[in-house]
Amino acid sequence: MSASHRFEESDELRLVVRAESFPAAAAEAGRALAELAGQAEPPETPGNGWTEIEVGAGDRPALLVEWINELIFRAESEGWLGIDFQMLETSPNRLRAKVRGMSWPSRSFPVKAATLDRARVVDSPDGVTAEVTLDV
Amino acid sequence: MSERTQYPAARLEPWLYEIPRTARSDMRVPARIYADSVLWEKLGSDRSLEQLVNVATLPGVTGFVYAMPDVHEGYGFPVGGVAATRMTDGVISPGGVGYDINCGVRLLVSPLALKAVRPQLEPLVHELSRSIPSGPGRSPRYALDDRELDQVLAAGCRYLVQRGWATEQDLRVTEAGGCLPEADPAQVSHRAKDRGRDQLGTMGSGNHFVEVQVIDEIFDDALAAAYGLQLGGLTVLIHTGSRGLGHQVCTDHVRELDLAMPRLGITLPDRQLACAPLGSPEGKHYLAAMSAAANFAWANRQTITHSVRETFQRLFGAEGGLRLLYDVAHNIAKLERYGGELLCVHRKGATRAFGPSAEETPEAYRAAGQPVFIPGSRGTASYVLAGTDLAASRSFGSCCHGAGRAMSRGAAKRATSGAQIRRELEEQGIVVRCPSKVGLAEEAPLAYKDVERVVDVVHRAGLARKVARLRPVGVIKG
Repeated sequence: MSASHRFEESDELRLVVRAESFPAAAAEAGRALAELAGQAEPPETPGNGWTEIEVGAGDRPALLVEWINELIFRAESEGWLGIDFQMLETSPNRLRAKVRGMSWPSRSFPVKAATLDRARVVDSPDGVTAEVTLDV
Repeated sequence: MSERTQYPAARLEPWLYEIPRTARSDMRVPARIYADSVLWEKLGSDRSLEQLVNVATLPGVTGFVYAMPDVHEGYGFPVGGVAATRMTDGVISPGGVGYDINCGVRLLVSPLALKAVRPQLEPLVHELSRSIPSGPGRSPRYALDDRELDQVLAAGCRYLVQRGWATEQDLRVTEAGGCLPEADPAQVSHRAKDRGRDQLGTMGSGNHFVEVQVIDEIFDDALAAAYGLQLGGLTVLIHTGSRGLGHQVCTDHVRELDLAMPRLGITLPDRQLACAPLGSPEGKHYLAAMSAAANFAWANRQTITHSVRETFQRLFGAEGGLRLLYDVAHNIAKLERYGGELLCVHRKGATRAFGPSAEETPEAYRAAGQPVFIPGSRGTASYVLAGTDLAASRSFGSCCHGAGRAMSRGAAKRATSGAQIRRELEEQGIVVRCPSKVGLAEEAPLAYKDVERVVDVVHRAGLARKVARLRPVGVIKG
């Protein structure tokens, strides 16, 4: 199953990701954020190299929220947009990834926060569906 | 009984509905909704009533939980919701405040009439848009070092008096004097400080704006006189909050409380309502951080006021003075006393509306009640109201905060375009400055409920009294 995502708009923005596993869903969520920032495909020229990011939370939905909030913070505060994602280690409480980023000079990220509002990660025979509401 | 929601609801008054405590087994108090029949009919289209019922399950919640007539779905807690919790056994919830801590509104009043300013309206709006950074960006002009930022977080507008960006009179007519004493900068994370460091004096995006307006209708001559409002007079309405700093404080503490709840023995129907007892270390930390972010928001609106005043003085000289009428928060949790008991009142998308007798109502407004501002959507009117003593017993001294969204941002973008909205506004003689066409479409008037209807409900319900209507003539949007 190849990873995919879509955005659903209600009062705010809801990200729905489908992937073969939770790590793949987290990587796809990162790509979705980059797409929102107008960077749908990684640029041909390398970005600012790879960096390691690690986040922790009580369970998988909270972990996904934490992961997205980490990427938002780095884009808005450090001017660094994650575009390419390799998951190194995941558990229900921890996610460690190598992320290739690019300079994000405008630092005007279109998402302010990921929320726990109806955040969920559901397993199915063909993979994982993850949903997060984004505050825009 | 009404069939409009999944819960039984009784219509107590033409503008008040109640969902009884027995509607769901985990409710601790009944839920009351201020709405007329038209607004009530629209409430079934989103999850706001379900969210209000969820709020009624918070530990230590007391009296009633309330929905204002502009209520709509939020994250966990509905926007337009009010809930008070007891200090003794109650909780504080970041979801009950929202991400944009102390988002609020302030109104500046000019001695000039619109007809005197009209020839210079275009350059005025242009200069204002240049002096107030908008969108999600930053302002190096007012960037703060660590020590200065901590002073803003601790003292709010009081610190800006030292910088010459605020006056003692400004403080007297700002809710809480522009400073919550519970603030502790040490409880604000480095991340939150990083996000806010160079955002002082910036408007932000979304529904934030600065509007130049004309007073085009007076509903109550005595109250208008008490506020110094005259027909045809010019005003400036500023709507913004705590920017990225407030968002990060909310994010940090929702995470912390979500992790702590099992240990604290709290179970809730929606984890975005994550909360902690007011007396617990977690609850105290959030109150201190939230208060610091609220102080940052007041300082933000005051810094924008400084920029607006500079612009007016540059263009209009000695006649360019601007008097702050009032500044009021609509996303906040505050410790207030009702019936002798100290409560933590959560107002999320709800405006404090204290009457003449309230101790916190400024001396200058003791006869009239606290000014309340209800912004419309770009192109529609905003309203000045006066708080009432009745509101204390009917809504924990609260009323609505705006028109309330009726359509998602996506639906608004599909229904109209930024270019079309700009054209419609310009046809009405409104000067528009907005860097984002998409942003203009997202905040189009059609995306919001009828603000006049919303304001009429709070007026008829006695939560606040209509004073004046303000029509936009210049719009600067993030």
